[in-house]
Amino acid sequence: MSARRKRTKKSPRRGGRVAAGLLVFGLVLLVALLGYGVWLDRVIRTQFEGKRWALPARIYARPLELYPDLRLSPAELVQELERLGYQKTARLERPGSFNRKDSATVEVYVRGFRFWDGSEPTRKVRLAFSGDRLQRVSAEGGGEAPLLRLEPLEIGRIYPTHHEDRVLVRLSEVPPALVQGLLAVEDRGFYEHWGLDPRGIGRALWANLRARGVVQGGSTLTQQLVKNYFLTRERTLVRKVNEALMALLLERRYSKDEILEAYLNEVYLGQQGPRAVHGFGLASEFYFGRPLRELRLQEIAVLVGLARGPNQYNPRRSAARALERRNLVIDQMLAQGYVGEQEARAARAAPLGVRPDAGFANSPFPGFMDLVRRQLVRDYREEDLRSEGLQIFTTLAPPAQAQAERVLARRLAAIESARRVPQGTLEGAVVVADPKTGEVLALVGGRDPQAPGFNRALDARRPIGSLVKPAVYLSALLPGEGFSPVSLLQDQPVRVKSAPGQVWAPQNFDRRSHGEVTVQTALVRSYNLATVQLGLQVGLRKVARTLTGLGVTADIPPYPSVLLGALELSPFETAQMYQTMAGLGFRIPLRAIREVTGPDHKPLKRYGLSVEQAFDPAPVYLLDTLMMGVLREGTGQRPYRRLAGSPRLAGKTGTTDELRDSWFAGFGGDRLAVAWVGRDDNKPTGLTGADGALEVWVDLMGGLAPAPWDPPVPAGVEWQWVDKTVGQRLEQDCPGAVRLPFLKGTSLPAGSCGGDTSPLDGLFGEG
Amino acid sequence: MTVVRVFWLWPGVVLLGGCALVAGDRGSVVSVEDRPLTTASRSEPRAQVPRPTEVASLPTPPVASPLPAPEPVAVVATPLPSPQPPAEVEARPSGSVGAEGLTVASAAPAVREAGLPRASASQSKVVAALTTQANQQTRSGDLEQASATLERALRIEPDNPWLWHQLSLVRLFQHQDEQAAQLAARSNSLTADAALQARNWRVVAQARERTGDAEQASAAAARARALGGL
Repeated sequence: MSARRKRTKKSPRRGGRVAAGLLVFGLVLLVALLGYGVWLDRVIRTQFEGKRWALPARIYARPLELYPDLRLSPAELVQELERLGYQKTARLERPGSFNRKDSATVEVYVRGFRFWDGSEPTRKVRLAFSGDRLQRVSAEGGGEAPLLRLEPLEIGRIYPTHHEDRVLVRLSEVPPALVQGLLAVEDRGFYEHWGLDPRGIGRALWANLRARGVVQGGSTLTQQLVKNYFLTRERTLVRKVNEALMALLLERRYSKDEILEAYLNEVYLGQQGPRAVHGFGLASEFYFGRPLRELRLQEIAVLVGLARGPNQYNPRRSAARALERRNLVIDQMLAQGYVGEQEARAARAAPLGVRPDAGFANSPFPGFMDLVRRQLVRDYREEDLRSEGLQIFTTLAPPAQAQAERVLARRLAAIESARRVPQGTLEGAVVVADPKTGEVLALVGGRDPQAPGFNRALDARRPIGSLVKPAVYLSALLPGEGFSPVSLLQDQPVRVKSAPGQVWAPQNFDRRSHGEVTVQTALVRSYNLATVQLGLQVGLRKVARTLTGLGVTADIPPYPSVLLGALELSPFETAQMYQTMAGLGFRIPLRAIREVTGPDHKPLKRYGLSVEQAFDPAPVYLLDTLMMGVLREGTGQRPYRRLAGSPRLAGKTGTTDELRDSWFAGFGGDRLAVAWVGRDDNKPTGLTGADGALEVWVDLMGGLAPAPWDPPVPAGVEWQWVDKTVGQRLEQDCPGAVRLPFLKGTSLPAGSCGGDTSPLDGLFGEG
Repeated sequence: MTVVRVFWLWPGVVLLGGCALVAGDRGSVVSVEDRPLTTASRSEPRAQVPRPTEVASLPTPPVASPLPAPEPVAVVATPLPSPQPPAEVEARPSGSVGAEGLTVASAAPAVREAGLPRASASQSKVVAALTTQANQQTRSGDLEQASATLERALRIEPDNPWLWHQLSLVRLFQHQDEQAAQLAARSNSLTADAALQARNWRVVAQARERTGDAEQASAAAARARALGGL
């Protein structure tokens, strides 16, 4: 004071100027700082309250429905549970565990799931099997549960553009041990300080000195949260100060619990390719494959340890360091009294327990996801898919998908080695659907299902060869066309003018003519000449109309060569065509999505079942019955014999010029599958439809065990006993008599008993 | 280092004071639970997601407002027929009460034809439970849920003509007339039961009437009458 007065005395004018200058400077500084403060405050508020969490769209497989009499073996159920990350335990103590009581009983503590049309509660259920069937579903405390849905398997996500991925958690549903661990290791004074914790810094410094390493951090959870908001690796002083200021501002505005919850969801905890793992909810799934609330102490400690340095303590790459870090977290929790001695010891002794694969940076089913994406972009903006937290429920059946992937890869390798073809030259694609609901159950775009890129199931458009023939025969069987399953056709050389000056002269596969044959024989043996004769008789335009009715949307070339499959379709498009046949003329658009729900679990859009009748059921029934003959006695018989019990399945082989494409499309009562085998460079494979695609198809159907093709007989169909080689009516007890369906009112010439029979006749018939 | 810290200390305090002034009120944060997941700038975020099947704008519950057409009202007034008894059971035609307590004029028509599902009794129990649920959902106007429930049942028993029929009714209530007619045709392709066929033709008649196809409507109505039924 006195010095100042002295100075004032000495030169009052100069001092006054200095003081005024200082005042002005101070005011300007104050205003500037105030402005800065306001700006910082705005930044932090925008960050905290604005759309901080762009949520990826989550995509799910179909939920497995469990009900009495479902065809499902205990082993298949266990597989499904394991796929969902359920743990096998001796006693059911927490959701997400199961217990195989004996060979016929499985007890499950189901997690429950909120479907848009109702919730599945978290509860213990008991599933009793009888052989390969589920016999009883009962909930704990008695009472039968007629119908139970397991939660659907998540099969992929559509990430926000900045690749941040997270699963939101609420503070109230987070295990207390997680918060305790974080407080013990990262910020002991969290509930006392106001954003910064000088005492904490001192304590951390001391602890680290004593431990000769980084045991505790000095920055508070609030500071760490701020740091995560503006993730930059830059470590300048200005940043530090800004961070501290923002931390203070945050604390001023929001409650401790709000800050903690934000921290739990924001903190960066791992990386997989471009995908950044944020928050403990996702980290739990990312490292352990289970929801956060199911984690045990040792697993929680691993996650807590990661907050310090997700790369440094990465449990997949640096297991030893992660383990050390985990145990340190447990020790600190023990020291703070959060856990007991015994519990801590048990947790320390446990292995790291991290699942080896990181889940899906990309979906495990890229081929199917491709289809889902294509169906989605028709209805949604890319941006909404990436950030609105939509839930997309698809039709994928993981067991069918796994089966399809496995059989395709194995069978192609087997064919290559059997035929001494260089390994890896053959490619293939498979589509599996439910013909009666149109739901796509599996889709494989190549023999390496994980390989990104060309999706052959959707994009490989190849000539379908004889797969087109059912359309020709259906055209002929339609009422008024005058053909029956045993009408006689001429399998004779045919020459057609296809274009001016050009003549098309097709041949049979065996390069022979078979003379007079019935419709049935020509179809099951896939005779080209008879088919062309029939198609020309019916008319190309009618055949084209039939193809359109069956669901073919591609351009149908107006040439007779279409009759033998000069029509390029993808396996998926072919599946649609065969769905209409399996659906007895009712076309159901193949769908991969059931519904899309918003963040509030309300459906934004449902892709409901829709049908369109393209044909009267009766002629399609005749066609399908004839197509069973393809497998029982026709071109497909050899591979078909591998299937036990000669199940009622129908289908058609397809082979293209010079054996470039090998096709099979066929169905049972509840499964439809199309298989294609060929080469990416379109060179000949040396395989007929039966040699390649049908082998894959038979393997597939062997695993899927479809219900038999056995629909109710449509009105307008009657059965007759016939000699199917010459097309005459026979008495039931005549040798060679088989029963075939006809349109009502079809009159056939009467034949005589004891006519020509072939040894194959007994293989096919209804009697 | 320390110098810098001291230098920053005062502005820091001033700043805080300033912020205290600005941020007089404690900001309220929306919890995870109910935080709108959209930015403020997008005032109508949901409207930007196209939704052909707008669930929010469900038609009024069918039961509350019977549809206009005079004759098919019988169909409409009884939202869903009762679930079909298993095929093995020879059911007697009767005016019994459906499992859900709905009085349906011919709740359990004779069942014997090939068109009925070869479901075992226990499977039928599941489907019956789902049908009951669909019925309740229909009555409370949750038509989208009702159709989802029926689709669930159809995945279990795809050849059950009653389920297809019920779905066709729900589509009729949803004013999806083309689909109603198609689904009724699908149901008819799976049954030889005259009463059920009559019901289906009635659905077709009403749907065609609404789509303005008078000729087809009256043809369908005639077929329904010819089959007797209700």
